[in-house]
Amino acid sequence: MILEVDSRSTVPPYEQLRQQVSALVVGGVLAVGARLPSIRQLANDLGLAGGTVARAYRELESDGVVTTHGRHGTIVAGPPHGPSPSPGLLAAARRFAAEAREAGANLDDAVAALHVAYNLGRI
Amino acid sequence: MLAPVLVVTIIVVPWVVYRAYREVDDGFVAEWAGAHGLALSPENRPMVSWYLRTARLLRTWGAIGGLLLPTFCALAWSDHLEILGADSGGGVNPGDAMWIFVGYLVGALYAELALVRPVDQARRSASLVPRRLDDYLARRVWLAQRWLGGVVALGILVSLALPYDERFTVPSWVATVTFAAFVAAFTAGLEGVQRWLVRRPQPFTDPSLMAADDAIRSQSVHSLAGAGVSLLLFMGGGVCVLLAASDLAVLRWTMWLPAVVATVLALVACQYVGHRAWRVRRRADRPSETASA
Repeated sequence: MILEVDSRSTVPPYEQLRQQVSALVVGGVLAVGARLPSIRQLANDLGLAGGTVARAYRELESDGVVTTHGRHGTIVAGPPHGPSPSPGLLAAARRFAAEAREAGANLDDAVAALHVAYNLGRI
Repeated sequence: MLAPVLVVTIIVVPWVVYRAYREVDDGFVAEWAGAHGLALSPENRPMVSWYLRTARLLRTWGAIGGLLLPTFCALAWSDHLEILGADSGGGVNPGDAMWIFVGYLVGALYAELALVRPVDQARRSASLVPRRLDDYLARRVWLAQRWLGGVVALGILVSLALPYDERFTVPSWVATVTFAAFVAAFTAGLEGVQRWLVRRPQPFTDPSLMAADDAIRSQSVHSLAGAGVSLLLFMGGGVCVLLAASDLAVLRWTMWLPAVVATVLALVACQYVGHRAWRVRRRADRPSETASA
C-alpha cells in the first residue's frame, strides 16, 4: 500500500492523496477499520506540509471514506458516498491503468487517452 | 587502584577496536537478517551491510570516546591521570563509567542519522501503514525506561530528606534537584528520540528496501534503549549507594544489594536490550487490531 505524490502533476497534492486513498478503499486494498498513518508521518514521508495531508484527510472524511478518532487516529470507514464503479468496470479500468503505467504514462496522460478512446467509441 | 585499571584498559580497548573492525561478511549479514525476520535481496543487502558495519564502528568509537572523555578532562583541569574513575591522586569516581554508555548511545544515534535514504524529489512515495514505537521496540522495554527514570529521579529527591553523617559530603539541594531534573529530562528525551527515529521519513517503495529500513530502524531504537536503560540502571545503582550512606539503619542494610544488582544489570542491559533481535510488527499485518481500534 504505497501512496505516491507527483510534484509535476497538475493535480494538487492533497487531491492526489484523496484520490489514491479512495481508490484503495474502493478496490478493497484498504479494509474498513484499517488505521491510516498520522498526518505527521505521512507529511514527513511525502515531504509535504502537514496542512496538505490534513486537508486530504478532511476531504476523505467529508466523502465518508475515513473517520477521525482523536488520538486513536484516522480509520477507514468505507467507500466514498455516491455511485461506485461496478466490479466489472473496475477490473477493466485496473487492466487499462496497469497497461498505461507499463507504457510510462502518468495519470493525466492515461485519463486523456481514456477520454479519447471513450469518445471514439461513440462514433 | 589506577595501575590495574590502566592495564585492563590498555588490553581491552585495542581488543574492542579490533572486534569492531572485523569484516561484516555475508554470513553475519544473513544471521542478523534472519534474526530480524528480514528476507535479504540484491536491493537491500548493500544497505544492511553498510549499516551493520557503520553502526558497530560508531557505537564502539562512541563508547571509547565516553571512556576517555573524563581522562582528558582530568588531564586538562587537574593534571591527574584518571581512567574509569581511578585517579592517580588516589581518588575514586565510579560515575565516570556512565560516559561509556553516553558515548555508545551517541554512536548508535549517529549511525542511524548517517544512513542516507535516497529521495526522489519529483515523485515522493510513502507507505500507508502507520509506524509506532510499539512496532519497533517491545512495549515493556520503553515502559521500563520510563519506570526506571522515574524511580531514579524519585530516589535522588528522597535523598534530600534523609539524615547523613557529618563526615559524609552531601551534595547541595540545588545540585540534587538539578540532577533529578536531568534524569527526568534524559528519560523523556530518550523516548522522544526513539519516537522521532520511528517517524523519520521512509521514502522507499520497494518492499524489500522498506523491510530492511524497518529492521535497521528497529536495531537503532534497540541500541538507544540498551544504552539508555544501562545508563539509568547505572545511575540507579549510584542512587542506592547514596541512600545506603544515610544514617537510617534500614537503608544502610537494604540498599547495598539493589546497588550491586543495578550496576551488574547496567553492564549486561546494553548488550541484552541493545542487540535483541526484534521482528518489526506493522499494524496492517494485524487486521484484527486495526479493525477494533
